[in-house]
Amino acid sequence: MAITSIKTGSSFTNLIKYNDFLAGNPGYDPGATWLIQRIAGTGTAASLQFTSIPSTYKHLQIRYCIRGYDTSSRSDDDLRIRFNNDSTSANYYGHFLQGNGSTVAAVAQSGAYAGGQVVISQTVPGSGATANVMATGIIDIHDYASTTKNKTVRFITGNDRNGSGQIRLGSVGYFSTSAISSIQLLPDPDGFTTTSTFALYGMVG
Amino acid sequence: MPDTSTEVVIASQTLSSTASSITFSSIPATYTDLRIVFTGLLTTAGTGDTLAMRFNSDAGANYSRTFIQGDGSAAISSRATAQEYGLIAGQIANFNPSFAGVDIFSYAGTTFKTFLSQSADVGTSGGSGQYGDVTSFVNLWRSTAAITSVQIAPRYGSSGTFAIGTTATLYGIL
Repeated sequence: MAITSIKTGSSFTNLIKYNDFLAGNPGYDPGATWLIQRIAGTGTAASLQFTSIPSTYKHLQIRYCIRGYDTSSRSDDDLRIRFNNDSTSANYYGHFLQGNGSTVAAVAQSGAYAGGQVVISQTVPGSGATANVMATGIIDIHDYASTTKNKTVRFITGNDRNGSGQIRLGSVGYFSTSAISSIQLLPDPDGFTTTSTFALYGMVG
Repeated sequence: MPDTSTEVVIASQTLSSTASSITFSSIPATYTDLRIVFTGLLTTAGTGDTLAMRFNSDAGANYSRTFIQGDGSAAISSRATAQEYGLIAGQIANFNPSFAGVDIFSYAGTTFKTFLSQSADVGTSGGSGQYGDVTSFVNLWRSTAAITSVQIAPRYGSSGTFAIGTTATLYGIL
């Protein structure tokens, strides 16, 4: 029988011992996805990063809604990604399928392209872009805590500006068997606006 | 592990009778993002239609989109500006259900709203299954208002009607 209330002054001697109050109650489903950390843009920071990522999940997911901050009023800024502060160019490779509203393109990019990181998007609205327009995306990092396998990442990112825009599907290979414990999100050229947010989720396996 | 389960079902609808649309209303502003998973089909035979979405009952020309699509023989990218609705699936018809997964970012924020959709469908005409496609959209709703309601419908202006069994679930992501 479920315990639904306890009267003041009740005696708890000679009760059947349970380890918790779940006995007789419906099971509690905590869900499979958990918020680990959320970070916001600062305008000028050269990178944002998730650090001390616990290895207790099976997969990671980053969701973002961002806008670039730059001092040169650019229309387009970059969002780049790096793991464990590892800037070894040979450890990264990316493959993308993207469309800009008129042309479909398949693109490959080595880690050397951006100096030991992979460019997730080259169309993050910059300071010169239409006000209030944001870039969004979801990055899935599979089996990130493995110490025997390289890491594979997939993502979708896009922005539309009522006349221009891009949708990009991508994969990233991170050629390291180290568990991922930190993720660097790098703007180019300058930063992300204070209206920008990145959220890191852990998925239970 | 933090005590914060992040994906919560806000509402779910499965049609027990045909309907011209599915609407989620009174959406609380307490989440970061919204996610909608749709699986459904139309009642009418013949060529399929597209699947559309509106926010806060806004039928103004405030939507635009860019997408890529593959149909088994070619890949294309296209866009539309100043539209009266967003698109979330390339096709929907009466033969086989279409799927759309839609992510709406920062829906309660004060910037314009960007939403991503990935859709899949197979067999939109005659039951032969050869007319499918896979499509990825990025849509923009040029409004700084918080989203409090979402409506999903066959392309507005068409005569399409959702069939019995069509289902949509709205999730809130903390």
